[in-house]
Amino acid sequence: MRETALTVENLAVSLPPQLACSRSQRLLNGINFQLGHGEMLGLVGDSGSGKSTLLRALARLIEPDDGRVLLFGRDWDEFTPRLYRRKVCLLSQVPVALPGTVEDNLGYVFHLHRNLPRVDPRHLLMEVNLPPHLLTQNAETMSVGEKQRLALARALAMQPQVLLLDEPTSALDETNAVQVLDLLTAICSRKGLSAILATHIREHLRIAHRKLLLSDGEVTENE
Amino acid sequence: MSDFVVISWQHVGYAAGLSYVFSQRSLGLTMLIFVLMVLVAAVNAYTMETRRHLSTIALFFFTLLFVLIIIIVPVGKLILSLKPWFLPQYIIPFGGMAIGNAMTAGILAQNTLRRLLKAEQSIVETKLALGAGCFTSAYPQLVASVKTGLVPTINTMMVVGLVHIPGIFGGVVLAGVSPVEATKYQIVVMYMLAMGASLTTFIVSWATLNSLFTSRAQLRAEELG
Repeated sequence: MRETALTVENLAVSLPPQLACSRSQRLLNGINFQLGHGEMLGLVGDSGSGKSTLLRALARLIEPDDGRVLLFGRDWDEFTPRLYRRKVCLLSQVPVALPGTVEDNLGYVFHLHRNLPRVDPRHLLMEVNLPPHLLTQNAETMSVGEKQRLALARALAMQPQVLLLDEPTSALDETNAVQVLDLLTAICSRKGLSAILATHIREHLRIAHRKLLLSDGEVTENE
Repeated sequence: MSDFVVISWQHVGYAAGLSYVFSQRSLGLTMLIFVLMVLVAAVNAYTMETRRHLSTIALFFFTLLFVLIIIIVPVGKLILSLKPWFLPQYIIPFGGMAIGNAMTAGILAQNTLRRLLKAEQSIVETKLALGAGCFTSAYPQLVASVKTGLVPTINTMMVVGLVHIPGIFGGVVLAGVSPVEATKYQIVVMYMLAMGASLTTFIVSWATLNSLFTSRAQLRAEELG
C-alpha cells in the first residue's frame, strides 16, 4: 500500500467572471482522486477537457472555487505559496527558458530558495541528458526539446515531492517525445517522485501506473 | 480634436473663471480647483485604459492629490516664498503642470506594466511556479514600466534649454523678465515635474502590480486586458 502524496478533494474551478459567458461557467467540477507516493498518474482527455486547468489549480497558480488539496496529509493552506510550489512543481506545456544563460536558469532556483542544498549545475544537466558545455549558452536559443529538459532540470533542483507534467511532449517530435518520457520514468523511479502526466496521446500513458480520464471538467474514469 | 482643444482653452479662460479665483486668494477655492483638476486627470486615466477598471479613478485621484500636496506646499512656502503660500495665480499654473505631467507618466507606466505582463505572462507564471513571489516574478516588467513612465520627463530634462525651450521660460521672458530670472522659475518647474512624475510612476506601478496578483501569488491574467 503506497503512502498518499496528494489527495484532491472536490476541486472545482470556474472561469473568472470577466471571461465567463454565463454566471458560473465551470472548468472543473468536483474532482476527487489520490496520488500515491512514487506513483505516476496519467491524466488523459481531449483538448479543452480541463487537464491544464487541473494542473494549474494543483500548482495553485489559479484559485479553485471549492475543494482542497492535501500534500502528504497536510492541507495546502498550511504552506506558503513559495513552499507549496517548491514541493509541487508544474512543468508547463510550452517550456519557458528564463532570460540569461542555462546556468542562470538553474541558479534562479537557488536564488529563490536559499535554504536548498546547492547542487552542481553540471550534475543537474547530466541528470536530464544535456551536455554540461551548454551551461554558458543563452537559454532562449535552445531547441524546444532542450528547453523541456532544462525546465525539468530546474524543477529537479527544487527537490520537489510531486511533479505536474502538462503535456511535456506536445512540442516534440516522436523520437524526442519517447526520450523525454523514458527520462521522466527513470528520474521519477530513481528519486521516488510522484507525478501527474497530462496528455491527449493515449500511447504516452504507457509510463503511467494508473489513468484518470477527464471529460468536460469531470473525472469520468479512474483505472 | 482641435475643436476640443479650443473649447477646453475657452473654459480655462472664461468658464472656469480663473480671473475670479486669482482675485479671491482663498485657500478653500484654490483647493477646490485642484480637486477638480485631479478628478478630471483621474477620469482621463480611466478612459485611456484598454480594459477599464473603476479602481483606476480612485488610484489616480488619491495618487495625484498626494503628489500635488507633496510638491505644491514646499514650492509655495519655501521655494517661491509666496504670501500667502497658496497665491492662486502662481500655485494653480504650477499645480496644473505637475498634475498633467504626473498623469501622463502614470498612464504610461500603468499601460506598459499591463502590456508587458500580458506579453510575458508565460515567463512570469514560470517564475511563480518555481516559487517566486509577485514582486520577484514581475520585477523586470515593473522596472520597464517605471522607466517608460519617466521617459518623457527625463528626455525633456536632458535637453531643456538646449533643444527644448519650455512654455514657462518663454512666457516669463515674453512678459519682460530677464532670462536669468526666468531660468530660476524653469529649474523649479523641471524638478517639480520630475519629482511628481517619479512619485506617481512608482505609486501607480506598485499599486497596479499588487492589484494584478492575489495574496496567494497568482497572476490575475483576466485583468490584463
